[in-house]
Amino acid sequence: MPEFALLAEEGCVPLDVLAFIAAAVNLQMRRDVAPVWGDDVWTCVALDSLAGVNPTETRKILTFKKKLHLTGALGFHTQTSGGVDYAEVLPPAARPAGEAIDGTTTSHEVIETFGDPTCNAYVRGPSGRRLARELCDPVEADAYPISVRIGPETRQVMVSNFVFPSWFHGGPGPHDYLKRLDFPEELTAGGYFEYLDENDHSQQIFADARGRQAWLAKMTNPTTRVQARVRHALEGAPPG
Amino acid sequence: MVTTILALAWLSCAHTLPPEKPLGPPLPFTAGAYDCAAPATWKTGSFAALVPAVQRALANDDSQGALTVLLSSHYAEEVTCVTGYVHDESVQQQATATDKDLAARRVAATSAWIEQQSARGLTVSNYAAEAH
Repeated sequence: MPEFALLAEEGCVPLDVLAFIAAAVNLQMRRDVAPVWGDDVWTCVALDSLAGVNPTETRKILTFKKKLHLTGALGFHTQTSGGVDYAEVLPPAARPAGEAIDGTTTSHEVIETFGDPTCNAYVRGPSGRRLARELCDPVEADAYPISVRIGPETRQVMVSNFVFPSWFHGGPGPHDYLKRLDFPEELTAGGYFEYLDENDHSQQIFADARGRQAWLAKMTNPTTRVQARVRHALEGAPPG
Repeated sequence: MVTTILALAWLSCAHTLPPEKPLGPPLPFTAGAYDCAAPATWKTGSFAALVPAVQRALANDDSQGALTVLLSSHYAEEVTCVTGYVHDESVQQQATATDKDLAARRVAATSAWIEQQSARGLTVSNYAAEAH
């Protein structure tokens, strides 16, 4: 089973917060994402360290770090020769007790990796564009709360909105989980999407300056999904 | 180039961490029936904060040994409450995933731990996760 392991370097995310994020993402995958997309459920576990853990091909490790190797990007991916995928993300902003935990970056990473683990899948949309199969980018700035109980404690965790298959293929809506989109290939404020043009060049559509900023932030880092797509496009476009 | 070397160094470090050693002898064991939702059950920390340590122990090839190591810093009832929570989560995951390997391993490991504690006279309740 494809699985994400969440880690926090140097305690940059409290362990209870890490556990709540993992629980919320698990619930989102099981309840909201998998039924719509009809694929295997991805799971997420929170770990306090990697001591004694044998990474396997089915475990991806997402580490929260106070500072990434390259600033600007919220998260990035790299791959070891052993087949284990690593990602690093900045920690969510600390919230006072009683306020929702920000799990959006984790949710975004898990959903998009679930949607396209190798960052090279494209779908020909109603417009004829070959759309990158990224499930959260078009609604990048939208989030919703999930209430999670672990033992005696209940916390709210914000998770990322995501698009439905009809966003790529056309047909009746809804086109995203929060029902904010009226049409396929539409964007909400702060969103963007990528596609391949007729010359197999990677192109982007932005909802607004915020969406462009989000994309640019990822482009500053050579190991983001955005950059992986550009690399794959340069290496040879997949059939669409 | 420098970034690549740093990344490889980080990955190398991430893979060579030795297994955790017990910090000392196990905390006193007290048989009984424990309510995981009761604040009195939690003496060394919170329920949620212990989840990552238990999950890490369960990801160890010797999961029972790794869970036992936790008993030097947490009471058996605390570890068993969290093990019950992970058990229920993993059962759900096992039911909804096509490839069930990791969840199945967790279900087997948590079942073994809970049975072992039960045999020692320690049982737990109210550990289930609720989410909506």
